[in-house]
Amino acid sequence: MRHLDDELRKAFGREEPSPDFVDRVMQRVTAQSPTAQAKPGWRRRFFLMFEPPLIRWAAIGAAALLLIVIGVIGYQKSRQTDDRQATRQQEKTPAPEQQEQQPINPPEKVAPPDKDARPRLVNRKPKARVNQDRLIAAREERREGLEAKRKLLLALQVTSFTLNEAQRIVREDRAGRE
Amino acid sequence: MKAVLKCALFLFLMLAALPAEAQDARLKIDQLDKFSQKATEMIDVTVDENLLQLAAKFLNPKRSPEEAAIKELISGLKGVFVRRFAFEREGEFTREDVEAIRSQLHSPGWSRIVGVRSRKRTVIDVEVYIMTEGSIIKGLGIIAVEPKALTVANVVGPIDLEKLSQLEGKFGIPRFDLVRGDTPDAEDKTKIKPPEDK
Repeated sequence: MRHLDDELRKAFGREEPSPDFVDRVMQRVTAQSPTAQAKPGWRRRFFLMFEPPLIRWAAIGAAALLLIVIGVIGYQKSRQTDDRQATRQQEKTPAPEQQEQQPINPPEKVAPPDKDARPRLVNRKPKARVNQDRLIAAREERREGLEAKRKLLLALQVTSFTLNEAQRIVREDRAGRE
Repeated sequence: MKAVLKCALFLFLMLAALPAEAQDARLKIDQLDKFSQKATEMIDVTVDENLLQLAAKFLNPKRSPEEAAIKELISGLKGVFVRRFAFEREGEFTREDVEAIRSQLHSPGWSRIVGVRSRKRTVIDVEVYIMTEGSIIKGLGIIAVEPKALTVANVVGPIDLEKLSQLEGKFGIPRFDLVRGDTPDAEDKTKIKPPEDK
């Protein structure tokens, strides 16, 4: 029992550190402190941003590619929409012959000129001009098509009339004989 | 030997194809244009294949049954050519002028299906010719000779005569009207009002 007491006393007894203990501890603390480490400059940190791992570059490339694809699809859709609008406008626009037949609005009913019209025309983008050219071309084609249709109907009517005239004469001839 | 036979066969096919190519239902009617100065009323319509295709684009079968019928009628056509000249006096055109057209319709491939003369209303000779290939009509030629008027119509391509005859008066053509006299003693009232721009 006494032996155990001695052992405990020895174990928990105060022991003085070695004389260089404090110096060694302080050295270690200084070496491990983040403030003590050499801090990289802002340039270094800036360039470090561009040195990510390869997988990050791949992700950036994929994102860029995705954006390009989305942009191209969006552009195509916007062009299609413009084309559709141009076609609708063309369908709504009456043929020159119809325009001639349309009554002219009386002066009091004519809308006042839009003051903003001029700047808008000036600021029109080339795309709008392209659409306008397309619209003019479509209107011209429509005019030519309607003229061709008119000619065709005229030719068919004269041919049909003359053919029927022959048939009428034959019928009258037969009726006369009977 | 085989090469010679092949050459002979090729030449034979080429020669056989020549008459088929020559048998075009298109008539030469440009010589009638000389009457354009004399005529008081004139219809000069040339609708070639390109114009036919363009016109077909503007025929909407959903719009009316007439347009549907016309679109069906002209499918496969290669041209429609019409000349009609009406004069103030008789004798403005000669028998030779008519014969120049008729002689083309006497060439192989053409056959006359109608040749009639009416004296009831006014003296009018109408001849209808068709060019056939088997049971298909490849072309139509019509000559109508009146004392004061001459009409030549030529349709090139497969045409259904029944459907063509049904078209008369079924479609409204702007600025054009056919007025036909029905009284026995009436003078020729087959007047064609030309388009206003002419």
